[in-house]
Parts: sequence; C-alpha cells; structure tokens
Amino acid sequence: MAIIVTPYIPKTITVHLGTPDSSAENVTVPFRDYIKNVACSEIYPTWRLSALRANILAQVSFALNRVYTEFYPSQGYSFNITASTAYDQKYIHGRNIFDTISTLVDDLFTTYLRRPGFAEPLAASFCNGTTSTCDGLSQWGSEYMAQQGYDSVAILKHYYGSNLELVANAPIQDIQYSYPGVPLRRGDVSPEVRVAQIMINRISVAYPAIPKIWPVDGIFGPITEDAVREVQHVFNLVVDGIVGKSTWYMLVHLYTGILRLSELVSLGQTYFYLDFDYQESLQLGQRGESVSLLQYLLAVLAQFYLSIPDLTVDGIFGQETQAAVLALQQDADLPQTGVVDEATWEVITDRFLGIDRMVLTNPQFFPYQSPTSGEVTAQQLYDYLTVSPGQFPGFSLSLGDRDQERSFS
Amino acid sequence: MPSSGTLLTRVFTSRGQLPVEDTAVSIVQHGADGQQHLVNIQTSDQSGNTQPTVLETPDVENSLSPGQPLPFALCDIWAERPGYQLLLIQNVQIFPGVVSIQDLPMIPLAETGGRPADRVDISPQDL
Repeated sequence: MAIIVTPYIPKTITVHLGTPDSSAENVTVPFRDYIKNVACSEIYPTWRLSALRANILAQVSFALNRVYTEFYPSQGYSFNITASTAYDQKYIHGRNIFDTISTLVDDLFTTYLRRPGFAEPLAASFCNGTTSTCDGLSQWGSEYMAQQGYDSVAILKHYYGSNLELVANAPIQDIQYSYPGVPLRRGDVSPEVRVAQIMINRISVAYPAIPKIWPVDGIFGPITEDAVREVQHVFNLVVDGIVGKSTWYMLVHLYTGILRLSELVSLGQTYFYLDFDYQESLQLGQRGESVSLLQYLLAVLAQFYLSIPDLTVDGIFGQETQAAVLALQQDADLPQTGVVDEATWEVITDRFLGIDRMVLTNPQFFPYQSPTSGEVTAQQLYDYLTVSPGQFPGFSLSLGDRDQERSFS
Repeated sequence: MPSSGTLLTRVFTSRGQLPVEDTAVSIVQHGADGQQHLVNIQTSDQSGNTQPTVLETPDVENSLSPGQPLPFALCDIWAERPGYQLLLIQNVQIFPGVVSIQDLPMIPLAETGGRPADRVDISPQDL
C-alpha cells in the first residue's frame, strides 16, 4: 500500500507509444504538453468551452491517477502511461495543437478530480458515447449537455456522481520557478517580474526579434511588455503583454531547456581534446573518462531525440546510462543490448557530430564557445575580448588603490 | 461564405527550442478530388516562424453532433532545411474558426547521411 502523499503535478510524463507490451518507443514530454496532445487527439476543438473543460479535467485526472498509483512502474514497465486507447488515452506524438484547447489546458492542467476524503486523483474513464459506452464520461454526451447550457462541473457530476471534488492549483513537482499565482503586468514591481525578465533575456539570446530587457530590475515597464509580446507572438501564445499561466510556463520550459543545452555545451569544452574513435565496449558497472564522454554524447543526443532520456554525466555507467543506451539502440534499429559496442558507438558519434556542426558550434546560439576542434577564429576572439566584462582598465592596480574619478586625455 | 481555419507553424531544434531560420515549409492540402494541392511554400524567419495560412474547411456543424461528414480539412506539412532531417507531418487537421498550431522540431542530420524522413501521421479522433 503506497504512503498517502499529496498528489502533485509531474513536471514530465513518460509515454509509451503503443500497447504496454509492444516494442514501441517511450517519449518523455512536459505534462502540460501531454494533456494538450491528448485533448486534441480525443475531442473536437469546436465544442463548447464547458464540454472541453469537462473532458480536459477527466483526462488530467486519469493521467494523474496513473502517475500517482505508479500503475505501470509497479508492473515492471519503465513508463507512466501508454498512447493506446485500449489501455489509456489517445496520444499522437508530434501532432498539431488547437488554440482553443491549448488555452484551456494552460489553465486547467494543475486541476484534477477526486472523491471527497480520498487523496488519489480520480481514475476518470471516458468513451465516445456512440460506438462505445462506459461507466464514465461520454464525450458526445458532454458536448450535448454543454449545448444545453450545463457547465463543466455539472457535466462531470452527471457522469461521475455528485460526490466529486475539484482540486485546483495542485503543486508542480520539482519546478524551479513556480507561477506566482497572479498574472504579471505593466506596472508590477516584484522579484517574480525579475525572474521573468531573466528568463526572457536568456531565451532572447537565440531570438534576435525578442527585445533585450535592460535593466533587469523587477519593474514591469514598456521594454518588458514589448519583450513579453514578442515572446507571445513567436511562440503562438495569446499576445496580450501579460505574463499569465500560459506565458509563465512557456518561459520556464524554454529557459530550463536552453540552460541544459548551454550546460552541455560548456561541459563539451572538457572533451574536445578526446578522441572520438571507438576504444572499447562500455557497459553497466564501468567507470571513468570513457564513460563520461559516452554520457556527455548521449546527453546531447537526448536534447534532440525525444525518445532518449536525459542523464547525468558522472563517469559511472549505471541504470540511467543504460536506459539512454537502450533507447538510442531502439531508435537506431540496433540490437537492444545496453552495451555500447562499436556499431552503437559509431551511431552515437555520427549523430553527435551532426548536432555539433549544426547547433553546438553555431555562434548564433552559443556565442563565445570555441569549436570542438579547439580552434578559435580571430573574429571570435575579438568579439569575446571586446564584449566580455572585466576589460583591463588600462593602468595597473595595486594594494592601497581606490576607485576615483579619472580623466583620460 | 465557405468556412475556414488557420494553420501556424514554427520551426525549431532541440528541447531548448532554438529557432531554425530558412527552413522551407510546404503545405499540401488534400483536395476533395483525392488529389494533393500545394497551398504554399514559405521559409521560416529568424524566430523560426512562418506566416499564417488560411485553409478552407467543412462547416462547423459537422463537428457538433455524431454521424456527420468529416468535420475537418486535412493537409500535409513538409519541413526541409540543409543539414537537418526532412520532416513530414501527415493529416494535420484544420477546423473551422480554429487555429491549428504545428510545431516542427528539426533534428540535425548525422554526419554520414540521414535517415528516411521523420514522419508524424495524425489519425482522427475516435468520435
């Protein structure tokens, strides 16, 4: 029996792209994006808002129940949920999203259903109500009720019983920057505004169209508002210049993604002198520099191939590293041994070098990084020296010196 | 006046969603005659965005009760840029009065050549 803890919203969810025992890939995606995908795959975006809300809440609850009860891991599987409608909810990896549904999910993905007196999110089942009927929500029935004027709570209680509670604003697990709870707008002054400014500035390094906010002072002024509008325009959010839930979580998602990639690019500096040729086979239990290099390469691949889980670069070939190797082998149609033989190594380095060439060494994305070959062009060196802080002041500094006004002729 | 919906695409790479400029994004609509019609080809801008594309769709009535004719228009999207894997999204749904947002995540080609196009095939809702 699991210990009763307050259900949280997972930051990400791992979806198996087939029936549980099929050899399909697993993808790990942000929970909010998972729900958007499910909602768009299950129902029509033209339905009444109250029907959309009712369905989304059922979908969120169902997924949270799977996560909270560890339904699949307890059976030995390495994923949280499947994409199969025979077992779970419809999920089509990479599909288009509808704006009507997207906006609602941004608001509702931290809300779920439960029975009073129980902590567990409701395992809210549903069916289409025509070709299949069930003991839960009828999708067509919900739209019909919405057309009659019923709101989402009335619809949900009709199908799941009146002993139903909505838990709103459940905490998101491990999220570094929680939504402040109220939208940030022009005129606000707060630490949260400063966080938003920092996130926008980091994201805008790769997006020349997004204005840079200076100074970063926690004051939501006209430059900040312009930057927010441009972020919203670029990322297909509602353009209102206000950092509400949708915009906030988009910023966090982008910021943490960029940081992770930057971290890896910096880490890559320590490996540029190493030989990328195959040395020896690597497997569970081994330690050392070869393992570190392998982990670094896999971690970079994981940023581009969503079926490869991210991993820590610690020089120890453990379960996490093996999981990444297996996922890579599956994606590349190699025998899934978990052992890095020469064929596996070749695929890893082959893919890595392509990524390195197109992205990691692209100064548009990662300025001031030397290429993996270790060479720096004269232009890069000049840019680095003239822009980076801490420029030599032009005169010597020694014990006893103080800052003072100086004029230079 | 015939119904229409809008399609927006955005091209990027990696989980950090770095923008990919100069990607050729082709939208091909499935016609009623069973033929495919090229709607437009655009190149993504410095933010990875393309201009919205408006497409004709069935009437909204088709999606509001069961047993109606197909409620959405269908199109395919190709995203191509040298250095990246070709990406094909099939059967993107466009509903009347709704904006469809299709993310186009590009993966850099491996050093020694690529693989067949990355393909996403969107099956209809089971309604």
